[in-house]
Amino acid sequence: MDGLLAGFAVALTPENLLWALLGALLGTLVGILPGLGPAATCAILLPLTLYVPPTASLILLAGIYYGAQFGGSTTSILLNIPGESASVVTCLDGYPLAQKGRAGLALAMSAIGSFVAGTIGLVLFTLAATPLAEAGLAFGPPEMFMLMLMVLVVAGAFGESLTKGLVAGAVGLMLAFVGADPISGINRFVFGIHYLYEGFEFVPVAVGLFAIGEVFSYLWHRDGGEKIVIPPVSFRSLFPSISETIASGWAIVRGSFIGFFTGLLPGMGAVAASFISYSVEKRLSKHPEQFGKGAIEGVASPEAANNSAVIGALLPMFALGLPGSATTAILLAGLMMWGLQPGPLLMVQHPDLVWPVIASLYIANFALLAINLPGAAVLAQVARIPLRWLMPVVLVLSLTGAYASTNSIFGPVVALAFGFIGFLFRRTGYPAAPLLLGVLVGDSLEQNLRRSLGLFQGDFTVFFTRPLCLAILFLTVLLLIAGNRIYRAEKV
Amino acid sequence: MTQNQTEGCQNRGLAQASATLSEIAAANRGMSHSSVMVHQVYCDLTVGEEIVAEKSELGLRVTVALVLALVGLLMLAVSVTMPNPLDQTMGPGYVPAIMGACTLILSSWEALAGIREWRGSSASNPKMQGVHVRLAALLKEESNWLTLTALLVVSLLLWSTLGSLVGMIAASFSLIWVDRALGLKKGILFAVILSFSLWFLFEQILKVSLE
Repeated sequence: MDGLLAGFAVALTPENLLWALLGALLGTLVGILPGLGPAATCAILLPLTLYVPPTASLILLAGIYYGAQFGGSTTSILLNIPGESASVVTCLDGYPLAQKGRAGLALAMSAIGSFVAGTIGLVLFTLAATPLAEAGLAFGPPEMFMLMLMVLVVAGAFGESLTKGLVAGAVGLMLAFVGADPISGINRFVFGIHYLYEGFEFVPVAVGLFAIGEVFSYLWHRDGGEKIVIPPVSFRSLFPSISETIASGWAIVRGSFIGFFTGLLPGMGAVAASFISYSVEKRLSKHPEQFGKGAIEGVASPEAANNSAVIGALLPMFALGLPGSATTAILLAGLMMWGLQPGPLLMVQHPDLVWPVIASLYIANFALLAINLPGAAVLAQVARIPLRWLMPVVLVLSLTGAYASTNSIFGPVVALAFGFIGFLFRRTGYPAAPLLLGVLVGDSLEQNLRRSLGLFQGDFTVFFTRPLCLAILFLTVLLLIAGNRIYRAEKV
Repeated sequence: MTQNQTEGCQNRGLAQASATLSEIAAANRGMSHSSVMVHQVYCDLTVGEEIVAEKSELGLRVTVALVLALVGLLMLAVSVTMPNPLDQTMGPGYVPAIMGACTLILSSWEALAGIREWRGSSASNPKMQGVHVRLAALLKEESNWLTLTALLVVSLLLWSTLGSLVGMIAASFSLIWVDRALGLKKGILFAVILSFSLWFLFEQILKVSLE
């Protein structure tokens, strides 16, 4: 609690307050724009944040990540176009409500649900962060290796095919091996190219996969040229009736808890959280036949879930140094860029960095409610920006960022190459997130594996006999089964 | 359009086409045989385009999987020959070799699944018969990429085990086998020239990296 109070003292300085509000606003706009996600935006902005203090940078990036979930629902409800992948479920009932002339109600419930869920998520984070980080200190190299392996394996399990997810993770790891071997210092897979001696820089890889890949996809499909008409939303329609408030209240609370605990697990994230909470609400409802036709709980619960899932995903990232999604991987890369070592020690050694970010999310939560509740229909106008204007800007910013992070022309070249890989991955159904996670944790995973085997004289059974390793293995299997089921349910 | 119409009818079989035309014409009074025929051929073309699009996606999927398998193989080949100057139990090539092998196995599995789907959809879709000729021509480009990638994977595998010359000969045979297995007999020469050029390039890269 002391940490949080100290965090508020830092977050409430005018400069940090401004970064938090900017992050929240940018996140909302990114969430509304269907062509751009939080991962791409954070990747583009990551090199630019080198010029501001680490705390302010993290406040900005976390605000974007969190704000995108708020904004994602706006276009889902008004236009049936999910601005974010986690807002796909919101289309199911949000758009029918808008067609019935109740867009204001859906937007209001989405904003209120997101706010309540964010608050619950942040309280849970505050309570769990320090104990989890302290527990993490007991983890040895075998446990850390198993945890990282779990992140990689599970990250790909919630997509079209487990094989494709595993391949993407393996390719990411292979790319991480390029450059000097962390133990012997021997150069590996550099093929005489001196740019590769230090391995692939994270920023060009991230902007390539997520931002430039999106540009290439746009060039291939050339969609987004259609004219978008935003339906009007009156101020009066934003207020729900008492019965609707009661019905949504419990849905929001359930969604908040489901979202937070789903977000904790690697690979699950906001998308899985929104699908799970929607199906739970449908099962619990006395009128399941209303779902898909404009049930308000069908908007409130998934929107609450995807917001608290973001907070949940930040917990293992800060407490254990484990990223569970592409965006948290980028945030973690930011920590490394600023010279910090992610892991359980981060919260112990740098509470001055972690707690201001959490405090700023409390502030951003209020700011987002103030922005989204009355202003959703106005902000939705952003969706009218033609992609033919947006995409060149994204490309220029991405290439500039890639250059700025490497100070070499090799950065943009790598970004373009990974843009092509990202595009191919999109077209063929390979998830890009495991690849990025592989690039990020590859070094650490290898070091932990080799240290473990060094400590235990090359005995591989150590990964199956230590109680914590066994528990992680069991959790991995469970998550793989859950991932398969959730994907099937999503398809239905 | 006229030539396509004729081809379409010939491929479906004139007798069958005639019967279908009579049926449709009877069902739609006021519609002549020729207009029904134009409509039918248009439908065939649409179906053909859909199949081509589906096949193109599958071709890309298989190609990507094979390229990834090739990358895995390359990493495996380089890793196992990597020096271990500190004489550790696990040298610098240990973990990359494991990952290379994993990628090779998983990507090959994915490629095989794609090829099975490709062949399955061709065999089970009766509409494929009518547009087979045009489809084969349109798939030529895919076949080039597919055979090229298959050749590269097999070649590198054989090269790492049997040596350059034997591998190359074996790879040439495997190329013909892959091409025949997929029922596509075009673009072999193009694939051979391109793959041997790439082969040379890979060998040079490997040499440089090993030195």
